[in-house]
Amino acid sequence: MRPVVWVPADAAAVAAGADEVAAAFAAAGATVRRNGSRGMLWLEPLVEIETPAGRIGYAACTPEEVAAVLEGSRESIGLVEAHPWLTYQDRVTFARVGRIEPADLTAYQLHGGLLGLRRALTLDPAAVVAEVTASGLRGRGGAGFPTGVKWETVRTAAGEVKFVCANADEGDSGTFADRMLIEGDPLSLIEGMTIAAYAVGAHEGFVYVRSEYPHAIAALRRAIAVATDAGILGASVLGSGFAFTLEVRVGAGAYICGEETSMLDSLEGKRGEVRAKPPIPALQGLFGAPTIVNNVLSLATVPMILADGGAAYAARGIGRSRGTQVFQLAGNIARGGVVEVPFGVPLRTLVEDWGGGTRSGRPVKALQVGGPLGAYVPATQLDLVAGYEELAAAGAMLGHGGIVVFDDTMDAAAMARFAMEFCAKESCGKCTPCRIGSTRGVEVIDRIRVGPPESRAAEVELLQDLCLTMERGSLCAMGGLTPLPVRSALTHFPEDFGGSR
Amino acid sequence: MNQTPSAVIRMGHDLVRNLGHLPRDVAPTEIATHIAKFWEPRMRHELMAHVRLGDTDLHPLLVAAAEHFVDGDIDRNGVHKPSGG
Amino acid sequence: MTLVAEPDYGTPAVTSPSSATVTIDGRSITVPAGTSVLRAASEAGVDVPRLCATDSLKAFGSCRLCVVEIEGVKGTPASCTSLCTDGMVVHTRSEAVDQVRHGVMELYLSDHRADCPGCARGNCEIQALAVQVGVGEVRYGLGASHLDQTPDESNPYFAYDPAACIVCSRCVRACGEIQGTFALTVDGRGFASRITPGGTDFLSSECVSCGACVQACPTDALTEKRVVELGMPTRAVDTTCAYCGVGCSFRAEVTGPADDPSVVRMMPAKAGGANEGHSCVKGRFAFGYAAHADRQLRPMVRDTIDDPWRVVSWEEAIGRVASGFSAIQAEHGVGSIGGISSSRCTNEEVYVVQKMVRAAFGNNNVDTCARVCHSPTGYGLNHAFGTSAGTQDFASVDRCDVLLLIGANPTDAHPVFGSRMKRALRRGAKIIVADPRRIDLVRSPHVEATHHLPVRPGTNVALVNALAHVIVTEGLHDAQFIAQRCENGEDYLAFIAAPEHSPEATEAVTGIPAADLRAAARLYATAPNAAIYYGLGVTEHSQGSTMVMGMANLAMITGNLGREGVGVNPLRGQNNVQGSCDMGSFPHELPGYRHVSRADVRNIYESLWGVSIQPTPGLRIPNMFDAAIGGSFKGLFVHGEDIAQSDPNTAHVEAALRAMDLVVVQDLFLNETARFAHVFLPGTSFLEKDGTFTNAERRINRVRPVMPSRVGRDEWQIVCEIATAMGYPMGYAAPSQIMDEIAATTPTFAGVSFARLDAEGSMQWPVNDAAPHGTPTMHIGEFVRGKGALTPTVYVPTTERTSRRYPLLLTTGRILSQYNVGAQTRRTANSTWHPRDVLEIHPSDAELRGITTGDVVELASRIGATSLTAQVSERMQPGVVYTTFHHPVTGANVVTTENSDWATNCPEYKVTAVQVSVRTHAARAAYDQARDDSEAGAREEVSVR
Repeated sequence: MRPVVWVPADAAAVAAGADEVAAAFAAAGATVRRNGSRGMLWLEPLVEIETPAGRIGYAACTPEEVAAVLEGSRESIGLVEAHPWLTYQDRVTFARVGRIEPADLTAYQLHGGLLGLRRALTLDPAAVVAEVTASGLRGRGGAGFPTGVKWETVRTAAGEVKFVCANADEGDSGTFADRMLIEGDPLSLIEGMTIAAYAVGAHEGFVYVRSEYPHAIAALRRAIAVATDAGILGASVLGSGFAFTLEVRVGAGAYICGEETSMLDSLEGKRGEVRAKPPIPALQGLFGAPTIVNNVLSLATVPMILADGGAAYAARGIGRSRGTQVFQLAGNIARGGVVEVPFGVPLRTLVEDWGGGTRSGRPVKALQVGGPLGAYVPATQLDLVAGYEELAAAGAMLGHGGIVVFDDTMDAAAMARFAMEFCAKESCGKCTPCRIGSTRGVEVIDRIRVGPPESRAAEVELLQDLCLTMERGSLCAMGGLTPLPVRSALTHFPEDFGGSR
Repeated sequence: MNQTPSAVIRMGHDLVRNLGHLPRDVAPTEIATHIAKFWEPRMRHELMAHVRLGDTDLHPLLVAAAEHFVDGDIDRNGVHKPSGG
Repeated sequence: MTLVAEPDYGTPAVTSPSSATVTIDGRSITVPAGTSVLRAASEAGVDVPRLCATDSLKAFGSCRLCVVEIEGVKGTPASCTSLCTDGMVVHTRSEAVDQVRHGVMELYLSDHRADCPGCARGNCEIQALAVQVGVGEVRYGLGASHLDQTPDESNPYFAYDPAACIVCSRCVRACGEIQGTFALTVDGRGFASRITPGGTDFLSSECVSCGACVQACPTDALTEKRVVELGMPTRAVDTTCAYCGVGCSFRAEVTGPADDPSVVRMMPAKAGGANEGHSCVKGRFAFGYAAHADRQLRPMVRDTIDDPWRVVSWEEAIGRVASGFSAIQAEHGVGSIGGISSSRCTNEEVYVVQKMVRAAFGNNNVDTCARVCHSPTGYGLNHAFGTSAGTQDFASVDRCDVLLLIGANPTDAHPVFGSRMKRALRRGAKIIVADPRRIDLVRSPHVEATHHLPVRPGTNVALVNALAHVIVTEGLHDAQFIAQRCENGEDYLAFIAAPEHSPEATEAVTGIPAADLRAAARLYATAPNAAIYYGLGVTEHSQGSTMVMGMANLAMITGNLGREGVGVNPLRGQNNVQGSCDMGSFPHELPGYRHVSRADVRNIYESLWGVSIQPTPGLRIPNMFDAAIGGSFKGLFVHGEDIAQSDPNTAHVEAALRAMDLVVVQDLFLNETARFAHVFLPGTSFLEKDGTFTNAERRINRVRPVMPSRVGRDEWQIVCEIATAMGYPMGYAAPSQIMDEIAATTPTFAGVSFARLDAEGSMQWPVNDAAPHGTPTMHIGEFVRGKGALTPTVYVPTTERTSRRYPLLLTTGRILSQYNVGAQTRRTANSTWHPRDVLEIHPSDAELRGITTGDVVELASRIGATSLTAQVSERMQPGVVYTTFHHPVTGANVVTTENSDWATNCPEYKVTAVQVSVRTHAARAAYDQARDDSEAGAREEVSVR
């Protein structure tokens, strides 16, 4: 019998040589299956051989080692599913990622796929929304707005035409969960969007994917074709008579198009520019019609919520942060990757237990949580627990769940400058605080770093004023949050700015 | 005006072509009424001169309309009707 | 920025059935629900600083100066994008609000010239606003800036200075939301963001130079060049544009001494009923002709048209006119002279001209240039509805669901209303365009006609009959409306249901695929509100009047009359063509469209004027020409119209003019007709006039003198003096007295006076006891004539047919930057866009003849031949060519025929069988053109001397 070998087709694995490894296995006569990544990125390419006991993993496999792997002479990591990195997780959104081939509808259903949609179609749309509301699910894009409330607004909004849009413009540094989900289990996103469409009465959906994600775009298009052929999408979803079609739209490289209203502008074919709210997209979104705009992870979580009930999801988590969060560990870290656990996990557990500390071996100086606009959390605050309100109370934010680790060689002033520079580079240019303020911020920080010491205090005061203006005055979260990393750097590491603690 | 006799005849025939679809008993009156309402008397006189000369190029309807001028019994009420520019 | 600060409430007014009461800084105010907090604050008298917000544009929320605190809402939201809800409590000042405004202003100033010339001259709001929010010092020092960027001065009228730009996008939004051209955008991201006209310069861009962006700009970034040149204006006069029939209200902003001021700029008035603050390149910028060196300012006479002109006193000139006309009448009879009134002049000027003809000349030989444009509208709408005017106001289009546009090109010829139509289309209204040419409203940015019916020139009646046929035979007509409000319904329905009117039967005639026509008819008939808009593409045909009646039929059988959003709406060509017709300029009608045969009406004037009025119609313009050539018509007073250029069959017109003993021309310029004149009387431009214009929606607008008459007298005075010199004393103390006489004698104008117009802004006639504030929508409940007249409209093909020798059909039209015969616009920088007329020809017709764009081609008809530069264009349909007629050198009317509308003699300009052949290929033509232009320039200089 030909051996069955699983080689991830995830872009991170491919970057580590997975395609060559897969070709070598095929050449050696193996049946090659291409799954998503298990999320243990330091092990990629992580090859898995099917055995009666389960799939045995071979870490960081090279084409040269193919024969050894097939002979069983190459060192393995044992049963992949027994790996503690995975067994200690509570995978809901990522339940199938890495376990199945992304467009394999049979495998998808064997692992619980379509249960949520099938159940949803038996319910009244209002009941579907109620289930989502009961789950406590909040927007995973970063804003944390209750998903059920948003859906209810769209559901009850007047209008014949409504839309469901998935935001897959995952531009935050240190985040990659959207991409891995789409590459590893795109059908869950499709199923989630279809449920959303049914719940609010939308018949068209769009997934806005950043152009830097060609593998995700290809995987999603393939899955949409499969779903359409299988009648999951189309004129009558699973024979229900409810029509829903889905299209992939590719961005053009602007970070700001990850902001929902800019994304809508871009989807409409315009220059991606933030819209003032109100009107909120739920009432006047794409082409002026009521529109759900949700993050990929929010939508991909919905099938499970419908399948198992909102209460099962809400049973996880702490405080007002219910369910699980898909954390992404990156930066200077020994074991980077995806960790999905219920809210309430201490940052230290993520960084030290899962992450294994810094890759450099030097002490952790700070984490940046929540992307380039997230605050720097100093090592002294590693015992903070991950939850929306819990982090906000400490002046930080969860964002999209990305955690970037820095060791003690980090220059906080340079990172503060980078925050302003990033904002200056990615600002859409619409509102004044962000458009002019970010450029001025870079200039002021430069003067603080290299200017005469006697003017430092005045420049710091100016920077604080500017941060306040941007925070209070900006039109969207881009300008409004840029002060977070700047201020946290200034607060926790004044010495990097030439000052003293 | 005798150097360009064609103008009134052309205008008269325009009327015939656009009002000639009316019933036979109505068309000449309508044409005559239109002429009374919109043509300067000189032009009407010139048309009548052509009729009197027996100009064979004239459309019979135009000749019939001109009869109304000869008889001088244009319906004045018709002129007053708000049915013209 | 305007000179006179009009109140700006920050965001547009909202209409809503429900209201919200909010408390702003302790003041309670109730506003329609959905009103912005900024607007509510402004209405409550609370001044909230703002830069990106203005009440002509939707809220944008970019400047972040208008932030406020709202109880129960976190942070400092922008008041322009926050909507009032009942019970809301707003604080427009707080520590946080002040901090944000200060911070934002400091950022603006960090990229703004300390010595900003706009701020210095009061055309830039930045520094004044900085003072208001308390920013004295800018702490950012020397950083990145845009201060070294180069201005774009390509547009002849305004410049864009990126250094002064604050990227508030008011210009971009004005271009899109108000004008609907979408020429402007923001280029780049973040700090690099700059306004760009699509990546090129303004002149080469899609920009139509309407000026909306300049008006919207809160800084000096977009500024009229004349403001830079002359400085800010010092006073303003409200008046009305003298170009097309839209009748835009403008605020003329002037500088210099009162007796010899210079117009700095024309600012469209927000309160203008027709334009609501918008403008086009002509009204906004092309006023320079009034001060052009070509203006003739002194009366001139000559014995024969071969003699040189001799400048004389007003007394001598008027004496010469009066004695000349009297002598002609003595020799050739009372009917041997006549006058032509001008649709460019005021109602009061027109009224005195027709009065002079009727009272002093003693005949009805008065006509007006409406003869050659909208006389069929007068005939057809009067016939059908009882009033020679459109049924709606312009605002009606806002309520319209389906527009049927026939033979009109509003985005070029009526640009401000064209923009309003585009707004309706962006709102969701649909449009059907019936036009031989693929005009912009068929397809342009954010515009896509549901149906384009490319009708073959001359077959309009077959088209309208086919539309009605579909509606009636498919049962889509409004039987109740027909039964209750129309007469002759049964006859008409039987007539139109006949199979010869079916789209399948007429397809070969009109060239319109039957399926398209059926779909268009269904769309029109089934819309909740459908309105017809039309132009000269309807009237200037041998069946122009029939077509007007056909459209009236269409509106009647679908019940699309007597409410907002519907109707039959002529787009009038000239500023006062409606008014000149209202004033009794037609030879068969006294003011108010009352036939001269009506003794009761004659009595009104006879008793007032002390003369007897002839009960028979006078000569129409073409009849005058025929009579002149015939020898019975010898003297003509031509008031502000260039008949030698604008009337058909130029050779015939010139022969008629040569045949006359005394031709008197009153005009701003020595026009083509003046070549045949014996007396030239200088006229006044609209900037010198005191009176009223009536626009296409029957709106009577005041025209106020911005400067004294440059020729020493007002035109109405000159006319009165001629009449007086002929023995009929005529005189008024002021033009307001003329309007008083009009009101006293004309029922539809009974309530009109200068005093009321000055107080109320504008009024739409009828204005009388029944409608004291005027009548925006006519025929509500009942037609003016009682029942609407349904009239069988038999299609009669024009006698102008194509042949082997003349296989193409020529049709004509206007272009945006030029106006009619170009007397005004050619004497402005508008010629930058359209320096010469071109002949548009379909690629296949061009290829057949070896024509490429730029070739000089001969255009020949059975009547004559002229030459033009060719432009190969997909806008055309095969077999049809098109030209504008703005330049005398083109001589478009050299080729047009004497065919005319059967009912009104409106010339059939829109259908001429022609042949086109190459005369000179493009490269050679370009060389010749350059040489001719320089010679023409030299010639013009000579003629000025």
